[in-house]
Amino acid sequence: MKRRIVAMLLSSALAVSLLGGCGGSTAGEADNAGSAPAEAGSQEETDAPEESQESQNVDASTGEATQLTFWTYVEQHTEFMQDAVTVWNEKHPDETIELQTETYPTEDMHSKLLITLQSGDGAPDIVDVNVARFSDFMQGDTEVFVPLNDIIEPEKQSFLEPVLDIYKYNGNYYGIEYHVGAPIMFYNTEILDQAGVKVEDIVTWEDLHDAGKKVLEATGKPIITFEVNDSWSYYIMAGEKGGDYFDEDGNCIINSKENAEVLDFMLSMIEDGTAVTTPGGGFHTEEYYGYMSQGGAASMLECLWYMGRFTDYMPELSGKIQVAAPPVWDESSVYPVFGGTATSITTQCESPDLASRFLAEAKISAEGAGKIWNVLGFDPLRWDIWETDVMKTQNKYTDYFGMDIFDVVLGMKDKFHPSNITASPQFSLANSLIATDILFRVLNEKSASPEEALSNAAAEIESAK
Amino acid sequence: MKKKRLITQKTAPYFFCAPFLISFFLFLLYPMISMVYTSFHKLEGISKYRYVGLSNYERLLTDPHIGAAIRNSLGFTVGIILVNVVLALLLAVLLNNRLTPCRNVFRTAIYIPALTSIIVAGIFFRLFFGSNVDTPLNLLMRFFGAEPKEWLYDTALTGIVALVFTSTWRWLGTNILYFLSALQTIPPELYDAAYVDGASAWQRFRHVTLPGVKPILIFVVTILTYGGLRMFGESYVLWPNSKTPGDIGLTIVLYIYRTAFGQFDMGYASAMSVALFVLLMILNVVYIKFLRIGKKEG
Amino acid sequence: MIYQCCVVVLLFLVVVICLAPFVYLVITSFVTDMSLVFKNGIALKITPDMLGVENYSMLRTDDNGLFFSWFKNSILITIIFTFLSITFSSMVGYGVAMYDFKGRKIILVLILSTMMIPVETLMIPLYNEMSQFQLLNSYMGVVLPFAVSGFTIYFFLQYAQTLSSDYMDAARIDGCGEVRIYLHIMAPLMKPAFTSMIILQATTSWNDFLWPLIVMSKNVNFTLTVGLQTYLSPYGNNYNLLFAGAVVSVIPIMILFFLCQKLFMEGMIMGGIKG
Repeated sequence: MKRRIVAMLLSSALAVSLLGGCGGSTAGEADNAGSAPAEAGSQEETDAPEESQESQNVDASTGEATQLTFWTYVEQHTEFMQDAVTVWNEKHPDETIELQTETYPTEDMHSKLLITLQSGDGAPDIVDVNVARFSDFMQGDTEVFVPLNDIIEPEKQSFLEPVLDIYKYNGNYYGIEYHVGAPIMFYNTEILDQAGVKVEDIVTWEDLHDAGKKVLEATGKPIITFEVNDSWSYYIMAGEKGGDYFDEDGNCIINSKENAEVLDFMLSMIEDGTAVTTPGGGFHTEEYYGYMSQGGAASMLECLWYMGRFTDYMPELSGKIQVAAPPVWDESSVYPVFGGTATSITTQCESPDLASRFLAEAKISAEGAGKIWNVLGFDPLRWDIWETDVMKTQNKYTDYFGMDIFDVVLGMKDKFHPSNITASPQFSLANSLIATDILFRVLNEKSASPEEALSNAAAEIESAK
Repeated sequence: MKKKRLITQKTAPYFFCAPFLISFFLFLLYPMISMVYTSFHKLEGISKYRYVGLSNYERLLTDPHIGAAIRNSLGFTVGIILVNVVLALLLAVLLNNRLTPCRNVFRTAIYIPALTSIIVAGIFFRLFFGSNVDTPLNLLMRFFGAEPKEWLYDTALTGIVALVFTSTWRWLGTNILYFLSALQTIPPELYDAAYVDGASAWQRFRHVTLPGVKPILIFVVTILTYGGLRMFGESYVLWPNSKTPGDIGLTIVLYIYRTAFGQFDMGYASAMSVALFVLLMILNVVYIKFLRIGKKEG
Repeated sequence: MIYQCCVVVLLFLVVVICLAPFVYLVITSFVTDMSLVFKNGIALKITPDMLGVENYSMLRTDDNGLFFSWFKNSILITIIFTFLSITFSSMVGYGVAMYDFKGRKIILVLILSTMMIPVETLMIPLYNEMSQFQLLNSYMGVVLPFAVSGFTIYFFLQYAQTLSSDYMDAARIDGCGEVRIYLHIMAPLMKPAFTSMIILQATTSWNDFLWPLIVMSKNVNFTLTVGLQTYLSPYGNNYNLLFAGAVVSVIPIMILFFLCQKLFMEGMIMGGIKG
């Protein structure tokens, strides 16, 4: 209380000094800051034009629209959500929603989310959380997100359960994914043809390695690129073997035999030139787009949503890229799925019921799922619509990759395997160690053997507990 | 009637210092106490802190990344001190020389980068140090017959070079101004006398210029030391999403920031902050003692 | 003559290095199809037919002129911050330099220590504090915590030390109060220091990134620096808006600089810090 008084005195003193010193407009601002509640007070001026504009969109007869805020780090998601709001408001004229969206850079959004959740003030109602960061919010007993069981469980049978399960914690679903993020190989058929290699012949990773030798001989190019400052292509390869960072009970298995074998395999490909490390470090850099569009390598391993990168950044490869299921280790291999972005409702939301019903229509309903494919170009979680006509409509992805994209995914469906994202709060640390440390040291710098690097990481995770 | 003054010669200094004291207690001391408190705790869940004693400090000793972070921060600090002192002093001497034409134009042009934000500078330098063979820097390297490099992902040294370069680009102009201000205080007669005595250009620099700028040299070194050890922005913009593979480009404050906001390990991040703070405070005392900062002249 | 040629060539090279990034940013900001620039990583070949003003009109219309609210926020925050900062810091610097009093040493040590605290580490407690004071999402929340900084005080302190206290004694004999002495006699003597600090503090505030990002949680409230950063994302960089926005963001501070250039240089060079 004392502190508050001091602050009040201080800020009103400042306001007075400003009144004397500066023009009217600045003084007004200072006054607001000193006396009015932050959210409402100092906002009035800046928000005014936007509100009047928004209110024209809302039917005047229906009364007040409920204000919801939505934070994301992907610009397209705001368009998707605003579109969903329009649909919602048409269907529910008596409980309209007004959605205020904010886009932040990835890192900054998660820091802000943590700070606001911690201080109990200022968090958004609805928020996108990156899969690598989700575990940070799932620890201890304090609930920061609203369980979504009520909207997920009724529709569960038409959903791919492994993808729902990645955001399950203590038996509750705390987030709903945008997409399956099915692991996919993107092959450059132009390069493969030059070496006489067919995509259909590559079934196992050994096949890929052999094909790589042919490609290298015929064209001098590597067959695949490995990321060294992002973790996911490694995570897919390890996941196929049953590797992960943590087991279901949260025990650290980052240094398991399977994980080391995957690194050994990657290293062996790099050593004979059939693989290279990614220019620019990862798959999302300008350097990499330039490298691939000039035909730098014959394939890459990512998730289905990476299609958008090809259409947006590598248009000259249109028609030359074939999507296929990734190579496997043996018949027992599975395909790990880990989505990419969960949408959650925070416990600071004042109308969690409305927010979750809205979320259900936006992302869970069949109509919403169709839009996830047609608007965002993602593989929706609802597999019951995969075979319907919604998924057969022509869009920029089918123009680029051909019409049979979902036949590939359907063929993989029964082998999808959930990743243990929420098993340990250390997941984000483990992921960041792989992304910024292990892959670089083992594959690029070659300063540590796979076993060494992984056991060091395990020790570090242990000491961070 | 004689009005009794509230602010007399006795109370005036306290009145003048009040803004600092208020700001210090509110915006530094309180957060710092809270930081020390947190350093003995571990964040569990989102807002529950569990007391863990000294274990965060013990972890400091075994953390494999801290060595790299300290190495980079120290390397960066030494780098910017060397470059900024030598280059800035040299350019300041040139810009102070009456024979140099268009001094004001050059002075202004060199200062301009200091007006930009690290974000704007980062946009350019992130591309400048890009990994492709046809980035500006790598074209230059090839022009001189050297191998193109993945500057940001090659070795710790190339990472530090990139950081020093980006930082120097923004701060060189300011440091030149500091040195110019010192050069102005050297009476021209001293140079004339030295010239008459037959001193060479180097001797004049060594025996007249250098002693004349010594106080400001110390000031610049001080500022650069603190700026260097707590550098964060340059790393933050050069390596996207603060991912620093193999700890290239990882600095102490970036590591603290990443631990706090990347892994949400507030306790450990606070312990690192406290350690860094103690280190800086020791430096602080040393500087004040040896450099006699703040003593009234004459 | 030979000396002059060498020096001009050398200085010219330095200036080229200093200004090249701006030239590159300005030219690139007019490229309408950014994918041409980033096709092979970073292309240096930009031809006139690639140029147009579309990026700038896009900046104007994007998201209902969001860029303009950032612009306005930046201007207002910079004005408030600079005003508070130089008012208070000059007071403190002057007080410590010109008076002998109990506790002066301690205050001096405190001032110097604040220059060395990595504020990045204090963000969480500071945010909680701002939340308690109800200053989130307000200009004051951005401005207050860092308005009285050690460095600014130190600068004024150094400058004030060059002033003679004889003026003060003379004024006291005339019955002048201490505050009046400061406002009417001593402060005007520090004019170059004020000009220098106006530029330096305005630049600092204009370019500040981390703290405004944390305090402001709605994008209409962002400052330019924070807003620009939102154009960068691993899920697709918006280079069109980023480059145009970066160019526009540099303009106001440039104008300020060129307006006060002469006094600024004087303040920095003639008075400035003497170590």
